[in-house]
Amino acid sequence: MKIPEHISWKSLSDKVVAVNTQTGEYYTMNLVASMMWMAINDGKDESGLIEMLSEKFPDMDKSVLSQDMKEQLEEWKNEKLIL
Amino acid sequence: MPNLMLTNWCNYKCPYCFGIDRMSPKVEAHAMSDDTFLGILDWLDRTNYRAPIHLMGGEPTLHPKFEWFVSTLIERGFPITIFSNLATDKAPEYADKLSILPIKWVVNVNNPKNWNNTQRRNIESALSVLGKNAAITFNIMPDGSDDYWAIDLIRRFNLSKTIKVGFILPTVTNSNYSLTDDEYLTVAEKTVKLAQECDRFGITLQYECGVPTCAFTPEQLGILWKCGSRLNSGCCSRLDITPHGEVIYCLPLATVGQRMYNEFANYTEAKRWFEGRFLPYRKLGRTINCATCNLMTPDKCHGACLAKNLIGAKNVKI
Repeated sequence: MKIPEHISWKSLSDKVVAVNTQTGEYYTMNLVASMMWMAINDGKDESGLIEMLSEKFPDMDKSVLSQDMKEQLEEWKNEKLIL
Repeated sequence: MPNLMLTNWCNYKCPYCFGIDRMSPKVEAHAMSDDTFLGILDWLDRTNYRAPIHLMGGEPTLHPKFEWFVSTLIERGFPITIFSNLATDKAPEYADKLSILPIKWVVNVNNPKNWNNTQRRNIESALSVLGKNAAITFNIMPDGSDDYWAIDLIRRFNLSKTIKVGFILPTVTNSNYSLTDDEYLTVAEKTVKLAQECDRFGITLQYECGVPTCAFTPEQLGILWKCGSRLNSGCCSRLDITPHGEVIYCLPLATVGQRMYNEFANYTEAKRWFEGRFLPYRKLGRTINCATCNLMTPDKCHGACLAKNLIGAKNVKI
């Protein structure tokens, strides 16, 4: 997974705002989505992401985390925020 | 019409200078040549309107051919505004010679208590002949001092009764001294106090780019409105042209995107090109709330200086 070059983004107060510079559409992310985004930027794959989320939220059921993560990644792929 | 940078060096070394990335000593000192200047004027002539050309630097009065630039612009019918600190040794002479001409001077001043004797002599001498042709501009600093010295200066030298105040613009490289988020609030409060004091003397405030609406409370915005110093929170760049003839969107963004002026058919095309390139990045905002803020429209707020929005941003390609 990677963030394509036409997505400009930055982290503000631990939250990410991203802009598609080709379409002008923008996205503000909540804290968990921002954690995932930063991890993708650091080169983590899906297993790395679920590992990171499990560490951050040890009380959450891992299968639920995994399902939520997959849904988020699918949404980002559909929006062409990640490749 | 653009800002023409006649020089890229200055007699001051202000820590908040937003031009620092394009100024000596960070880049080699360079004065605009006659050929570059004349080429730019021919290029500007291709646009069918005349708005004032801003002569600036660095410090424009340090250019050895400053008078020739001014007389050439006048001969060719360009209105002129000169941005100067008036603290150079030549400034009083230029002010005296040019005071009879319809030239507006915008004088960048710091608090007079920080002037040395030479600076004081030059500035006061020049202001005394420029009078209403000169308007002062300065940054409101996030410190404990008031800015009422500006009112004294206007009254003493009978200057223009408008003050252009700024909220220290950052550079996109974050290389100058600029405001923290909390300091925006401090500076906003000081701005309101200054506007109220100015109102007693019929003086009003105007605003540089990059003053965010949300730095003020609704009550403070109302006070500014009542004082005749209504906040205009836009970011509407005139393009800058460097002494080498490079067009940049503005000095805070000097390291992001540049083109030679003659790569564009005319000024209008250059302006359109830069505006289009930078437009998507405005949504990155100064705070996480900017992107969804209902004030984030061109007539209400641009979310502060675009350079502030781009600090730390990834994948910026102009």
